[in-house]
Amino acid sequence: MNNVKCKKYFRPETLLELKDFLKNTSENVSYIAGGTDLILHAREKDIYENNIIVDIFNLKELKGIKEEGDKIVIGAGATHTDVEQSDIVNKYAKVLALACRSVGSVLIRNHSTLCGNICNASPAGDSLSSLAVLGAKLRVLRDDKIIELDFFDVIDKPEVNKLQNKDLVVEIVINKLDENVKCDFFKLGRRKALAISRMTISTICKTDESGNVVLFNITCGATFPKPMTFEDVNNILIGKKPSKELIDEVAKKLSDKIPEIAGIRKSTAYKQPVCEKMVKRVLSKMLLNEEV
Amino acid sequence: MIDKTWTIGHDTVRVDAWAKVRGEAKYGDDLRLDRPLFLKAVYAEYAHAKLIKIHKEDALKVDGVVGVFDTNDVPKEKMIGELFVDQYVFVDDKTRYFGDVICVVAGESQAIADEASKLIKVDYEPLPVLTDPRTAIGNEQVINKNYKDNVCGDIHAIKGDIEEELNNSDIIVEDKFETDFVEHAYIEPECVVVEPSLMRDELTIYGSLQAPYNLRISVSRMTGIPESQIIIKPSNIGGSFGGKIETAEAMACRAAIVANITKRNVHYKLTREESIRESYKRHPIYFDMKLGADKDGKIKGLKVDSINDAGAYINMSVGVAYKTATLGPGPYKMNALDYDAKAVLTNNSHTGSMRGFGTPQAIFAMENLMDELAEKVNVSPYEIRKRNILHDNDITPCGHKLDFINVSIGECMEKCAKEIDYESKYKEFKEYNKTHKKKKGLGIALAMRGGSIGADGNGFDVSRCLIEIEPDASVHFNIGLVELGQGLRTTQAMMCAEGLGCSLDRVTIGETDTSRSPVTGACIASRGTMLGGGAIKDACDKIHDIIKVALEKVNDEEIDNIIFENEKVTFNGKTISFEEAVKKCYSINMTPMAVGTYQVPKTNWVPYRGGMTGEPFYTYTFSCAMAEVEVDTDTGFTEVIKMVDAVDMGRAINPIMAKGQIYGGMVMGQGMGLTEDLAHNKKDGTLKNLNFDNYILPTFSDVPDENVAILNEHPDGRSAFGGHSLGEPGTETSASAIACAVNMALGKAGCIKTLPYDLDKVYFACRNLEKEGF
Amino acid sequence: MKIDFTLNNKHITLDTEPTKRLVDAIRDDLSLTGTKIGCEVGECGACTVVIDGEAVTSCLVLVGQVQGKNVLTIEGLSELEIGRILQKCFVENGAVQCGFCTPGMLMSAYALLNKNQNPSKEEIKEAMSGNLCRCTGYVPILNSIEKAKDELKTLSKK
Repeated sequence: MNNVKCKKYFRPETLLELKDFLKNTSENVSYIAGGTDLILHAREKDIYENNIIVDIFNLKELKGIKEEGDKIVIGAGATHTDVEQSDIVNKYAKVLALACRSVGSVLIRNHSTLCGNICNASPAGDSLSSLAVLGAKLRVLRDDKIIELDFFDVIDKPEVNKLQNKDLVVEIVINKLDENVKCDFFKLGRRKALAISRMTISTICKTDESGNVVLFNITCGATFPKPMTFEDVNNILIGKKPSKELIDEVAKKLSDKIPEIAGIRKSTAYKQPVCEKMVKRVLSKMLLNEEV
Repeated sequence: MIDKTWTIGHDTVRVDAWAKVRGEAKYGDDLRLDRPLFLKAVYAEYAHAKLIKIHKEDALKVDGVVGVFDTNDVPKEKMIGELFVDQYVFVDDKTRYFGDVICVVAGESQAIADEASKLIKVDYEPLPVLTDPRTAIGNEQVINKNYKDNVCGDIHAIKGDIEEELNNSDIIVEDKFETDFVEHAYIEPECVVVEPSLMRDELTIYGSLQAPYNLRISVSRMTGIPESQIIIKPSNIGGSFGGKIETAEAMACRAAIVANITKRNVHYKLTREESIRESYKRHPIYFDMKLGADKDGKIKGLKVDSINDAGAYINMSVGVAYKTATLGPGPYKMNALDYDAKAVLTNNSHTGSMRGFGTPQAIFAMENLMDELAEKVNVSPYEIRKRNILHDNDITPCGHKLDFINVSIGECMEKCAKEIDYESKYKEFKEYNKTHKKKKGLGIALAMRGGSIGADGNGFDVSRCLIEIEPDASVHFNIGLVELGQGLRTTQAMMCAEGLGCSLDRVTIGETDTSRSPVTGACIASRGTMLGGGAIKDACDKIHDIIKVALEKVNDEEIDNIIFENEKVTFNGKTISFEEAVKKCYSINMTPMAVGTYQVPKTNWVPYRGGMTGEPFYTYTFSCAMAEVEVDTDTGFTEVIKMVDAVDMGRAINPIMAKGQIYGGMVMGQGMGLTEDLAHNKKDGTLKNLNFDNYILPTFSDVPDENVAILNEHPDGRSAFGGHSLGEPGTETSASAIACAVNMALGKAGCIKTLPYDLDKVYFACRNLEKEGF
Repeated sequence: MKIDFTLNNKHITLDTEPTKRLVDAIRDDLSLTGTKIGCEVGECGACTVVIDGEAVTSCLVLVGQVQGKNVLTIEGLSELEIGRILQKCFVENGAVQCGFCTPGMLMSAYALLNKNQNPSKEEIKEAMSGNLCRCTGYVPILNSIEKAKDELKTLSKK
């Protein structure tokens, strides 16, 4: 392949250097972290020809995953492997660790970043449904200031994000789940590795001593144009004792969202009923300890 | 044939293994010739359209573009083809599929050629596109004017009186099956490199070239340069599976034309997308089957009408039809056969040789039909096959009496059944499936494979080699059969050592070079071991005769019987070393060097009732595969739990590599069975899945680590070193075994009738069965 | 642009376009052709190299991104004990057929064993699942890695 065509390639050594650069440029900026998506896009078409490619992968300030009180903060340079293997994520947001582990292959996970997965906004992005149920927030560097944006507000539609030119997502922020929250991540693909998701289902749930659901969030990915969660679906279980009937209701309601939101497509005849069946399977196992 | 062996039959490290694990082995794209021109092709925008005009001006203006070459630059014959010369290397009057090449841009770098190629505009006049061979037959649109009805081949294998047998049957099973295009998916995309000689009109061609002698003919026909001055030196080849013949040949012809005109080295590689777009595929085949049996399920007759989609060019489609018709009935006894196999031109990707060559599809159809028969008779799939398989001295469906070979299909089946624990699992799964959503299945597929080309190649199924013993008793050995990764050069060297009676250490097998090795057919049709072995044996015998005469002269005695074995030469009660014998030969200036030739004896394949009958092949390989699967009926996802494949390849020359053929073959079948789909567009003849993100090959995680390859050896007296076909038998059964296993899991034999068994298809089959009350 | 990095244990400075893919820099600028190109979209793993201990597909990395890093290609594998053992086990256990996926397979296997000297079968399969092979059916490769693992264990006991 030919070199990725761009106006300039810039690799700042520090965040400060990057900020200086951003203050003084009015050019179009494209960020590259792992590069696994940017290079693919450039191979299809010269879309960065008039842009400055800013390589943030090695910025120390954006590496790593840390705790901030009741939050987990994931740097924009953290790879899927970093997230998948992070003790913090595994302890307080297991669903995300599981989702990251399902991305592509080890080779891809080693160089692709969670933040890249968000910014590229592919509906098939494996991590997105898990970030949706976790209600992730993004810290964005805009006009030399850090602002916090809702993850749902940043992804607009397939392959399009709502960030402005020069906006840099520096961190992903997630509220810690307490250790008793049950997490499940389900991925359906045509093969076990290197699979593009047909569907993902992310679930978090917690019950109190009396068995009532106090926290519940479930959604599916690769089914909607953008990540979404549904209060009316979650409310079916919240405050109640899980039962087969309620689980069936959740499954029905969530799977009905597929044609409601994405419209009836060729894949709907498959995805809608499979979603219903898989939600039943996931929740029965998680809440009733039953295999269905 | 040899009973006790010193070299063959022993696990041997490949001659190329160390170079490959060190990254030192050079493949086509690894060659770095001096200042090469790089080529980039412009592809057809329509699968079927008249070519009006090519606008080259803008491309030619680009700095570093040396030229744009099209059909007008071909000095002589404009078409290539191994059996039928009908494939244009550049589009001439019209495009025939969307992988056709309009022209190539030659530039000083790949980037220059790539950029300039985007500036070429082409005017077309679109024609109606034919994408279904069934409706292409007799269609008013004609793809090749020599075939007015678009039917380019029709093979009809016949035995007995089919109507009478079907009329006298207690049970009739009828069904229709279809298979789809399959991509070879060699991990190395095609690359060719051409180096013109500055001394004379001579071209040396390197790269991923499976069939060097065929290529030599084509380049010669195209350029007018004699064959002696076209030197083909295939590089290491990164997998082929039958796929690096016509496509690589068309590329090599384009590159040769550019090299010949510019007198520059030329480097021409494809991206994966270009490779999938341009290369030929495994044939989709449509089957309409009718089988008659008695009340115990013993087959009386089989009638099949099949149509293969040849695509835009005939390629190997007629040969493929031959193997479908002659081997499609499987290793079963039957009184009558009427198997028609048509090849039909369309505007789809052309289809050609791919490991199995028309049989994996036919076996899929036949084995499903056998399961349907079992269901009607109410016996297990294993039992129905046991009742019908061939034994020693039986007559095959085509009419060949098997009195020269161990008919070991029953043994293959027993060994597989034991390994996979068929009997108990079969019963257990039937019970288990009554109460579980993830259902389990076992599938069996049997095959008999003809060795080499068969009667279809009567008279031209030949191989040759050159063996030369040097004065220090080292051996230089050249053969034109190409290493494709299967381990052929190692097995050939082993047979050479065995045949000469020397140690393998003495033997150097040179890389294939058409200027060093005498003309040999291609490395196709799983013929390398039998054909190469025959030529090697002949050369060894001739060299033994030379050494014998030399020893007679040196020792001044007559020698009746001389034995060359394990570094020793024994004659007249004396034993001398191999080295001494060679030295004695050179001491009187005799040359222990010979060309060996082997031709497969013609077989008796004769006209009968409007078709052909008799002996379609000289010898056969028997094999059985069994698969265990688990099907998630809620998603349609099939997991392969275990596969077992027992193959009687005669003798395994290098057992570790023989097993490698089977392990690899099983997984190639798994892909064909479950996931591999090029997303063929029936409206415009294009393929959508052009790279490995959407063309789904099995990964490490998808393949059971419990897979077992069984070598069921019975050395074949019809092959010099006892070995016959293995490469194709290794893969032809596994897709069918998996398909049959899925259908068992679903609870209905022959339930899903088209390959591949992907998520959606299996899922909807489950829903339909639910509606039917299963 | 000048890019400084360590390649196969030697420090080098490469003057090239930073937006060239790493695989092209390795094959064309540095003439190390053991790293192969199979799909260019990160699916086949033929271009696998190891960067700072992690196996990655070098078709999806820009050469500018390896500034200051430690890159290992198949050409450097023979200099490492784990590498040599893996090569020997691949050779002896039938893991090599056409050989085109082999360098990538070895790099992934090296990265795995370098981090985890006692991987389970499942861990091996997961680590290797980004490398496609069309010839071997994977089983002989799996066996070879298990053999290498055993040899490493024997070595470390000594």
